[in-house]
Parts: sequence; structure tokens; C-alpha cells
Amino acid sequence: MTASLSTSRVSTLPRAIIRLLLAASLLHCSTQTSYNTSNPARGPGQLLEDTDALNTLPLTTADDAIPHARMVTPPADGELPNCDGACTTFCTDLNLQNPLNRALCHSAWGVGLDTQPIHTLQACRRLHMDLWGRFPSLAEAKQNCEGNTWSQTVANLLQSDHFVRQCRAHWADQFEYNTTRVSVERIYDLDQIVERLCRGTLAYNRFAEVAASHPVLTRQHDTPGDRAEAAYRIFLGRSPFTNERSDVGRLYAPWDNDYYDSQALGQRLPDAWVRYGCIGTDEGDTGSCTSVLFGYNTVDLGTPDLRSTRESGGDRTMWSGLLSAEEWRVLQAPGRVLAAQSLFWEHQVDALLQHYMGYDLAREIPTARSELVQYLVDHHGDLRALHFAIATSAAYLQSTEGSTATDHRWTYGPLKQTPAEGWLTSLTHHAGLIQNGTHDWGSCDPRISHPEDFLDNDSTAIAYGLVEASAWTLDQEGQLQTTFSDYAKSLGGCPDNDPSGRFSTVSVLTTSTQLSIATELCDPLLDGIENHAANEILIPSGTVDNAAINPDGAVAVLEHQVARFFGRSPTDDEVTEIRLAGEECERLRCTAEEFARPLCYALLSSAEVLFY
Amino acid sequence: MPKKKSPKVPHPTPPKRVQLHSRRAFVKGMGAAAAVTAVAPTLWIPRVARADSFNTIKHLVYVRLNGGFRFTAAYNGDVASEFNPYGLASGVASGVQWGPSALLESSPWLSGDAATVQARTDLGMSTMPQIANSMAVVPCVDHEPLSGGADGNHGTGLERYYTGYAGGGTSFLTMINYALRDRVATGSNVSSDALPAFSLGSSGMALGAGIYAAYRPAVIEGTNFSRFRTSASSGLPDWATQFAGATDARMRDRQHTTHQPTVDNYIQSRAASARFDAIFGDPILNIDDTSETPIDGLTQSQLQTLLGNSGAGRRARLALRLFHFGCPAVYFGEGGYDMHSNEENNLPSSMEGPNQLLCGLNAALRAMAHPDGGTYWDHTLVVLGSEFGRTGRGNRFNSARGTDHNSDNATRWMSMPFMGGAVQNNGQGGKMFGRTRPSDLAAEGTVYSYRTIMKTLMHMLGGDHDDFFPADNPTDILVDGA
Repeated sequence: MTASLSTSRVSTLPRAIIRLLLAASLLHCSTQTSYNTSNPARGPGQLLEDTDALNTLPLTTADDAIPHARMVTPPADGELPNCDGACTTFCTDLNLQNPLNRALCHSAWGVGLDTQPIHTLQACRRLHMDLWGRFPSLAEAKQNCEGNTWSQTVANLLQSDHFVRQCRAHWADQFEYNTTRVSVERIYDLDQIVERLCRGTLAYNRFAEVAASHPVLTRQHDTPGDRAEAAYRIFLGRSPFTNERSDVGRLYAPWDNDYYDSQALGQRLPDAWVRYGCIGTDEGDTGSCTSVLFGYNTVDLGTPDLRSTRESGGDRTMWSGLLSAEEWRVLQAPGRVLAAQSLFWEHQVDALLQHYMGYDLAREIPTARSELVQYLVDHHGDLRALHFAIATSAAYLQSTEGSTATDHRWTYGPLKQTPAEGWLTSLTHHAGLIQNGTHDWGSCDPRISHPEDFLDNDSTAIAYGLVEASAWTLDQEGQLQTTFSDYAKSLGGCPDNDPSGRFSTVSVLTTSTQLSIATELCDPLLDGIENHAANEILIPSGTVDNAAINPDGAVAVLEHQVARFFGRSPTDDEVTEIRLAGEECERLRCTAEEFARPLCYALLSSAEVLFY
Repeated sequence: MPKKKSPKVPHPTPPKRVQLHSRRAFVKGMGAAAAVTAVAPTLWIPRVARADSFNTIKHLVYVRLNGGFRFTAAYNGDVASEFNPYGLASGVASGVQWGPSALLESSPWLSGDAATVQARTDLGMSTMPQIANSMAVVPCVDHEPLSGGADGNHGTGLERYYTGYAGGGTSFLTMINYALRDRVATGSNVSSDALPAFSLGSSGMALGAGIYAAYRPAVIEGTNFSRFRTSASSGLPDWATQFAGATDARMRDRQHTTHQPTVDNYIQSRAASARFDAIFGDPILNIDDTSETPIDGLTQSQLQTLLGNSGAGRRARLALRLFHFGCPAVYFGEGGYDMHSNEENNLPSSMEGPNQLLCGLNAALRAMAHPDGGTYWDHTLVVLGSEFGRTGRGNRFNSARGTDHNSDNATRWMSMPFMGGAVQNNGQGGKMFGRTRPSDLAAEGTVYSYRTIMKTLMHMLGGDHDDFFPADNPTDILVDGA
């Protein structure tokens, strides 16, 4: 009996026996293979072809010199720029290499609008938050951003594990990882695919093909139309029109929602199954699994074989974990359909521009979108190329400070609110609570949205080990360390997608929370709060904790903390004020610690950490 | 420990009800008293026909039984064994219609250490069957009463629970804050000292965009409200306070003019947060305070005696203290009921959680004097829900002795309990509003949508809910049973 034999030809008794044998052999296989708690990924990602890096960073694009504006009358506030022939010639003659700069020229320099130059350390701070998810200290900023071309700096940051972690968290948000709704093994599988995307070894269109039919997407939705809707939102940035939902939804018709039992984890895990109801049995059924709106596309898995073990609504169904590589390829039809549309590329450009700029630059300067789409395609769909082009562009490298002749949005820099986790990580990192990658307050891992489900009394040692090997932190008693995630959730980070996602807002209560965190870190009133920043973090080396503070000492503490927390040197105003504070402390006989801790609170609670 | 004087928080004055006509009289006049099997979408006519339940409560405890809960096995138990394999409870108070199941008998708090049991008994704590007549149950609350089946999907089911719709953008607690925007300190209301609604654990209850963004409730993870304190602000040396202010101001002033309001918003928020320092630092919100000074009639340790120290118990204790400061609603989750396997063994012991929560709240609310007169029981409603029910797929349990969730009736109906003075004092305790056929759970009475329930609760809180769910009417069954 071969695997391709239709189940309709198998008599009941032999089929039952064969299923039993098959199940026994699968069980045997699963128990023979030791479970890797660091990498429990199982799914289509394991079948994905290996590829080398699509590009080498830094890309050949040179750092453009920022030009001065052409000497013409710039457009007035509210007036759209009109790049005439002379403007076009001006821009062409500049021979700008960066695609975003080329687009920007026609709306800025070419029409008489200057851009705002930025200080390297300010740019460095912004780049670190956008790529690494935290602010650098002054020492880090100097090490990472000085002495290199900006292209090399961006390339270095893009190639670090910090960027990959940020990138993976972004896609975790997009796919709303949630271990209650879909198997943790599938989430790890998609995360590994995402990692390849983030490391530049997987083209974005190829990623979309696999991800749009990945169980993490299909299992989270009930109907084919809902799955099509989710794929449209993620990859095209909009809901499908009614006809698109219906048509592309047919390519999701084979998917079914069910469960499988994981002996290793001791849990029944929600997962995707495939249903054979609409295909294979007769030609007339094929239409319910065929899309015709974007060419003829169908998902024909053939006839069910011995791997299909359940019935649902009268149809044979099979656990997606048993799909062959060829069957996975067939099921990737929705992603192929979406990736063939220009909006697919445009949406990704728009989304990244929004991420870096904090406003919709593609709407303000539509040619920015087309230039970047072409650039992305020219670089084989390597999303890192898009990050690189934007982060090295003049549009991004502008100061938020000072005034401009007009309020055209692209002529001054973006000011964004620091994301919750970035704010918390920066504070705790600079306060010395992160040592060798271990965070005293714990962390959170988007791949396991509900770690507590793996740590209850019924959990197996493997389930426990899964959490232990993740970014979540367990204390010495095996309890989950949730200080970081609790705070982050209060401020809009560490989403459990249950169902809400990330948010950022400024309100009385979030501000109170932030002030409370600064209090906890700095212990400004010397209350003996546990886990606060150590004195050696807050006081310059060579100064003892109980040294008497005078104006010079006060300035030394200020310089030390401003460098550590803000990644810069103090301004003259700050030095003047702190000298006065030092005089007051001298009269009151403050010690270095009594001065350093309130100063820590004043700095860490400031708007300078909340916005960048 | 000396008792710290708590800030005087004027309890929000309930709005005067606008009642041009009695909706009931209007409906009766139209002769439209015929029973329906589902609440079809109708047009809610703002401010013309308020139901009698308007402004009947001041506080809401809204609890989610996490993960999807097998409601028929607890609060609608008089059904076939495939829907309630645990049987019915004994010793149920008289006049109870809604079929308390045997799972509600679990009352470990009344056994064990004699002194603790005595303390609980002295505080008025009893068992679920005994207090079953103080709550009403709506057996058929549905996501979409006009749809063909249940939404058994965790994601969308929960979205509906939080927002009323799959993909909804505004959570129920955000709606409450908006509905009560004239009374609580939220949005642009800087004159009120009454705390807004709080979500104790889930940001899913804090969604809101556009004009509703400013009304999102605070989300507090963990159970220690003392983490919220900002005591440093008031104790800092003057130079540090001035330096902090100057640092913010300098940051604002050097920005491009279009960015300055962004930073200024934080500066103002920081100034406003100082107003709440006294509240956030008040020992009343420190539920672990061991002081023997009663607050509204009960000490913190007495509350712990009643509600325990579990996550939900601690959140419930904090909720009651937040109510002291005018907070209208608190949301939190309880337990984890996504028991696809081994529910048969695990659910009975897990039911200790919601059982103690309801019994503890029942006793605590009755024992606590409300600042506006009467007891908290008179002014508070406790409501339990979940994202969906659970099914044994036609059997008592699935193949793993657990339950799943799909499109069937067992998944579909959330049989929600409503407990509080507004129900019992109005003679509705023990009643069931709607009915299911025991053999197949087909609805034999009115089916209510989650949106109707939310609208009703906002209505009972006396809020302006005109903006929300215009096709769903609030109902006043909980206070008049009609």
C-alpha cells in the first residue's frame, strides 16, 4: 500500500491498523529525538531553502554630501513644491546616490528649501534607538558612531544581533504571536524565518510567500476570508475589497483549525490542519480553492492519504506538521499572489518610512516611495537595504531643533516618543541593571506570550526548560521575573497580543508610572529601595560615596551622568545650574551619594529620555 | 503605624438622569411585548428613552475567566451531561433559577484552620450555593446573535469581549472613561480628583484611538499599587526639582516649534501627576498594609482574609480600594480555563478561584460602608465573562479529557453572572434571564450580545454611552426583570 493511495480504496480495518502503526512510529520518532528547548521550531521554516546573504553591507551607495538649497524662492507654508526644469537639472547634477535623497531633492534643495543639519551624537542616539531599541551611553556613541563613515556605522548596527532582535520583535507584533492561539513550536518556526529576513538571507517576497501561509497566520483566524484579511493587512497594509477577500480567501480554503498533543510539552497545542474537502475528489470542487482575480492560482494538494487522520464536517483533515515540502509550496499561493502586486513593496516602504520618520513621508513626497521600491527590488528584496537607504538619508539625518524658513515637514528632523521597552531598557541599562545580557528586572520574549502557561503545576520539565531557554528570566526559585514586563505593559510594551498590541501615549498615569520607575532606579531620597543603581554607576570613579560635594564636584557628577544617560556632554546652562546646586549642597554638607541620586532622578525622568 | 490622612476625594456626583419618557411605557403603549428569541439590531434613540437601570451603580468589577470558560458547567448547569458533566450543586438557596453546578460547591475557605474559618464566617463569608440568590445569570450572551455560529477563536473572541467587535478599536473600559468623562479624571478633565477606570493586567482593555485615546484606562501589571507611587517628586531637594523642570523646559524650547507641544504635553502631564501623588502614595492603596485601621469598615488584612492572596484575589482587593477614590470600574482576569486537556481533573480545583472571588466580594461589599451612604454592595456590580464558552464536541469531554472551542452552542453562549445590590435589592437575585434547551443548548429565550451587556453596564453606571453601539439597546432586566 503506498502513501498516494486514496483513502476511499482502503478498507476500514487495515486503515485503522495502519494508522495505529503510523501513529506508533511517529511517537517513536518523537521520543527518540531529544527536544531542543532553545530551538523547538517545527514547521515550514524547516523546509525553506538555504540562501546566502543577498547583499554585502555597507551597500555601495556612498554617503551623499548634504547640498545647500538652490537659490530660489522656496514654496510658502502650505504650498506644494513645484520642481521645474531647472530644479530637475539641479537635482540631476547633484548625482545623489541615496534613493531617498534623490526624491527629497525635488521637494527640498531643488526648490530652495534647506534641511536641518544634525550633530553626529544626536544622530547616533536616534539610530541606536531605531535599530537597537535603546539609547547609547556617550562611550558607546563614540565607539559606534565616531571614526566611521555614516554608512559604515549604519551597516555595523544593522549587522548586529541587537538589530535582529528588534526586527524580530517588529514581526512578532505584525503576526501577533500568541501561544494561547497557536502552537509555540510554530511561533518559533516563523521567528526563525523572520530572523533570516532580518539577517538579509531571505528576500522579502520569498518571506511573504512562506509567512502568508504559515500556521501562525492561518491558525489565528477562523475563516478563509479572515485569513485573507490578515494577510492583506500585514503585507499590503489595507483590508481586501470584498471581491479580493472572497477570491484570495479561496486560497486559504484548505486550512482548518485544530489541535495536536505534544508529549514533550505535556500540552494540547492549537495548530493548523489542512482540510481536503474542496480539492482532489472531483474537478468541480477545485473552484472553491482557486483564485482567478490575479491570474489562475489554485491550491491542489491531491487526494488525502494515510496521513489524514481526522474528519471535520465530513472532510478528511491532516495535521499541517505532516505536510511535505511540495505541499507547503502549493499552499504558499496566497503569498505569491500578494507579492506580485506593487502595493506589496510600496506598503513595506511606507511602513519603514513611518518607523524612521514618525510621519508619513511617502504621502508627503510620493517619489520617495517609488525610488525606495526600486532600490529594494534592485537589491533582491533585502529589507536591510531599505533600512540602510533610509537611515543614511538626509531626510532622516536632520535635527529636531532650531527653526526653519517654512514648516514643510521634511525640512526638519523627526521627534518621536521612545517606545516603552526602549525607554525601560535604556534606563535600566544605564543604571547598571543589565550586566552581561542578564537583566535584574527580567525581560520579555515575544515568542512566548504567556510563559505562565508553561510553568504551572502540570507542566513538564521540557516546558519549563523552554521558558528557561527563552528571553524570559526565572529567579533562583524558578519564579518568573516580571518586573520589566509588568512595567513595560503598563507603558505599552511587551504586548501579549491578547489581543492588544503595542501603544505609546503620554497621560497622567503613564507619566506617574515613569516617575515611579525613575524613583525605583535612582532611589533619590535614599530610602534603600532594592535593585537601584549602584553608587559607582552614578558617581564618577575616584569620588567616594561620602565625599563632600562642592560646585566642582557637582559638575563632575553631572558630566558623568549626562554622558551615561544622554550620551552627550552637559550644556553651559546645565553646568551653571548645577554649580548653584553644588553651592547649596556645600552649605548643607551633602555627600556625593546624596547629590548623585536626586540628580539621577532629575535626568532619567526628563523629557530627553522620553523623546528622541 | 500612624494612620496617614487620606486625601479628601469628593465622590463623583451622579448626573441627573434625562428622562423625557419611560421607555417601558412607550414600548407597552406600542403593544410590543411579544417575546423574541434574539435581540435584533434596533436603533438606540439617545436621551429619549432611558431604561430604569440608569445610574443604579457606581462601581463595576468586570472579571474575565481567562482562556474561554465552560459556563454551562458552572452557571447554567441544569443541562445535559455533555454540557455539564459535573452535576448540580446541593444546598442551593431557595428561589435560584439558574442552575448552580456542583463545581460551585468547592469552598475550601470554610475548612482548614479553625481561626481563619471563624474569621471568614464572622465577616459574613459563605458558599456559592448559599449566595446563589444574590446574583442573576444571563445564560445566552453571544458575540453576534444573528450569526450562524459561535466565534471560537481566541483572538477574535477576545477582541469581541474587549471591544464588542472583532477588530474593534475601543475597549470597554475606555468607553466607560469616555462615558463618565465629566466625572472622572481622564481625558481633558483636570478638575476631577475621582480616579478613572483601571485595567489590572491587560492592555486589551485599554484600546482607544482618535478622540478616545485620551480615555484609555491605566493598565497596572502585577498587584502592587505601591509601585505607582511618585513619592520622590515631593521629597526631592529644591535644586533637584528645579533642575528636573529646567531640563524638560530646555528640551522643549530648543525643539522646532512644531515639536514643542509634544514635549510640553509631557511637562503638563508631569505637573498633573503630582496631584495624584497623595492618592497613589496613600496607604489605602497599599493592600499589604498590616495596619488594623479599618478603611470603609474593613482592614486590609480582613480583605485578605476574605479574598485571599491569589492574583485575582489581590486585584479584587485593590479594586475595592480604588473605588474609595471614585474609580468607576476595574477589570482583571482570573485563572486559566483553556483546558484542552485534563479539564476533568483540573477544573474542579480551579473553581476555587472564582468561587472565593465571588463569595469574598459578596461578604466584603456588604461589610464596607460607602462614602455616599449605604454599603458598597448597594453601589457595586460584579460581572464575570470570558471570550467564549467551551465544548466537549458532543461528549462530556474531548479525547484528552478536556474541552475545545468551535462554532457550536456550548462555545457560543457565555452564561454570565451579575452579582450586586442593584440586582438583589431589586428582587432579581437568583433569576435567569433567558434559557437554553437542556438537550442541545438551543436558545429558548432572549439572546443578548456582548454589546448589549456593555451598553447596559455603562447605562447602569450613569454614563453617556450614546457614542457606542448605536444598534444595541441597553436592557434593564437586571433591576426590573422585565
